[in-house]
Amino acid sequence: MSRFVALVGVDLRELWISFRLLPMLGVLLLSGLLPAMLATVAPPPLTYAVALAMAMALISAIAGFSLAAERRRGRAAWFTLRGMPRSALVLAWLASSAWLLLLGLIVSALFAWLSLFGDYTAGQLGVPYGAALVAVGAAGLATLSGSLLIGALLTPRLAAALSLLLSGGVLLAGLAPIGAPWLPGGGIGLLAQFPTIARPLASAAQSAGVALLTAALLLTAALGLLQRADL
Amino acid sequence: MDVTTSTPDALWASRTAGRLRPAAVECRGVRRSVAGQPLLAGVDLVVPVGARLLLVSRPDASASLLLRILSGLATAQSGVIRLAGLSLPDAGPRGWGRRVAYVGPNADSYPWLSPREALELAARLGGVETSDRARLVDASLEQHGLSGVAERPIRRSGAAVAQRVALAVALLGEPEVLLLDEPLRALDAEDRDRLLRLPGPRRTVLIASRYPASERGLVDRFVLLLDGRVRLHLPISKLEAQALPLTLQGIQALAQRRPE
Repeated sequence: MSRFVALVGVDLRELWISFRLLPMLGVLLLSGLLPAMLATVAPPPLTYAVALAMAMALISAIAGFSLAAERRRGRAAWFTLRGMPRSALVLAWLASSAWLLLLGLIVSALFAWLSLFGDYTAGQLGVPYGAALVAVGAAGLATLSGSLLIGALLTPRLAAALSLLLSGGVLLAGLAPIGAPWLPGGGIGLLAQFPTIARPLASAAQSAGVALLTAALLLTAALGLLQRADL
Repeated sequence: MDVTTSTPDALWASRTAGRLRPAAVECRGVRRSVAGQPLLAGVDLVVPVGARLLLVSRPDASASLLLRILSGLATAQSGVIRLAGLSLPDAGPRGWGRRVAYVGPNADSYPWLSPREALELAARLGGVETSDRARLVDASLEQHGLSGVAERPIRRSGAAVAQRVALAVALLGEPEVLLLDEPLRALDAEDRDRLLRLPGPRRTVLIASRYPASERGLVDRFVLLLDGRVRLHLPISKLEAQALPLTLQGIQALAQRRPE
């Protein structure tokens, strides 16, 4: 476990030194501020949902880029030669990116709550809001896993571009009026409809379940691919 | 019973162990193609423990690929590989990492790490106890001439320091088999020679090189890989006996004088 923690620490430090960490957090924080800034342009819940989707797509793209760059520059090989299982390389990037996603999502959600639902008490909408955010977080895990799969296959820039497009597409597809809870990005749709969702907790659980299952499948594929790849 | 370099010293010193001639590296029928070209077309190679082996190949990429497969960075499409008595599935990544070390032509660790940080990270990942780490790292820095730049990020110290760090990291865990692919090219010849004269009679070293002459004095055996197969595997003395130079041309000339 200590070795895995060391690996995650190196990944976070690499993100910091390469100036990728601050943009990852920054876009999430900005997404929480945009609803208030653009309140006269679009409904705030929709603005927040779209901004959050774009921010999470960017984070996923950075994660995919980072894994691909680690492979390309021989650092994945360096860790493998130190006896680290190849699966640990993927899981470490997932852990470091997910941790940043979680941190940014919490702060972003607080900002958005103040601008969106300042009229309500936390007791009225807090639980459904939290449930919707859990579904959004699960969607973020799914896009992170997909980006790591892409990063295990492609060159860094191609991985980043494809991850951005696919993650953005998957998350924004959650805004679709029909079938959204069954899509990995369904949590985004829940947030866009907040607070008028008919069954918020059930819908959030459904979306989160689909997203987590998708994440598990994509992660398994990523682990399998990296196991066979030349480093 | 497989006699490996993990066998206790008493057995190791016996005449029986000498007669058994333990193998540090065993390859049987190793095949691998890259972009449709068969770079390894059934490599059969047994390297005894303690050998200092030079790998020369045509095409050049075959020797490098073989070392990468032996290190676990690439996979063979077929064949059996055993290092220090174990196969990779049996040893697992950690067990394999303890027995074998690889230094490639490029220094691959994070350039923003200092030599001390790189060695400490390698020690931590290698499972060295916290209480032993500082002593081990200090000794390694001293041995590889890195004490003066120990705290400076590697990217500010140049390619020569980066390659020294790569070698220091590889040797930190006292590997039984050391795989060197065009190592330390950024160093001057004297420094390179000193650093590659690696102590330890039980340590087996395989060096892949496109400049065999620069490995003179560092190796006692050589292998010529031609079109993906082992064409020659001989002591260096055979080359010297024929008054042939330690170059690819000299080795190929020796191959032509000997039947397949």
